[in-house]
Amino acid sequence: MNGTRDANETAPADEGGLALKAAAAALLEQTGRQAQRQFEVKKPLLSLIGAAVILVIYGVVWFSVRGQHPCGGPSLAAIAVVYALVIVMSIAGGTVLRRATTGLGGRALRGERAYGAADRPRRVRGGHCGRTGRLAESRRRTRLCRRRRRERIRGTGLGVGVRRRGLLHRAPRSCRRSGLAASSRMMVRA
Amino acid sequence: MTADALDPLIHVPSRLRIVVTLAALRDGDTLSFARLQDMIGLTPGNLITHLRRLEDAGYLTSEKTGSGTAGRTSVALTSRGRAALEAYTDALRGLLGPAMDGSVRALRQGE
Repeated sequence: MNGTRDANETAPADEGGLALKAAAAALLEQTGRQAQRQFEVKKPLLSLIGAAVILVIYGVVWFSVRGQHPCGGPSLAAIAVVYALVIVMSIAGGTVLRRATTGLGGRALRGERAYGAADRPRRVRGGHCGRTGRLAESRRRTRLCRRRRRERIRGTGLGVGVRRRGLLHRAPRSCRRSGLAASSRMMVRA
Repeated sequence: MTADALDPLIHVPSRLRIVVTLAALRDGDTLSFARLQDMIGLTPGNLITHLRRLEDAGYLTSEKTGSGTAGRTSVALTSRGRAALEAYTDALRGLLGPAMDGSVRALRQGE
């Protein structure tokens, strides 16, 4: 009797536990799918619509030039439709990409950039890095030129009294080319 | 396999959703707090509480960049968190049987 009661009492608890685990499994699967879908950049539906738009563009141009003797090219209206479709597709693609990559960082964002669409952030960051790199290179060259110049002045034993023009003409080609003449003159004068 | 094998930290539905969402990212990727909140649908206070508990357990890392209104907090799942989710999924599969295979496959695709 006791055993029966125990079994009856534990059965609902087991069922409840199992139901909770099943709910957890369902939640796991559903959340995983949702996340995958939201992070996905290459939406199949968008690709399908893009393909359809390209077909429409070809159709519009073909209708526009059909039966022309001699061929005068597509009409302005056809060209306008083509441009409009291209713009709409670009906007739609950009929107989908922005939605998919909003809030993402790290390797994912770099991957999307490699995919070729997150253009704006790349330009901003790349431009900054590029400028920083160029400035650093320029500074390094400037320092090198100054050091060489100092060594030359010390080597000739002329020091401050050296003729500016002659010194500049003997300066390394890289210094002359990088527009450092003015700063060099200032330095020699000092 | 017993219910004890299920990690109680992940077994809470909200935290399970957070971990699964972050597991859908590639290893080393981060997700902003705002986007995560948008995806999970929790209030900021609730989300912060859950994130803190997961962070304390070493399942995720958070990083704050900038300050003031331009500040941005991003979170990422650690390898430990990923391993914990895999262990949780395996345990769940052991308890429920092969019905779990679909979700496991979906999770592994995200890695």
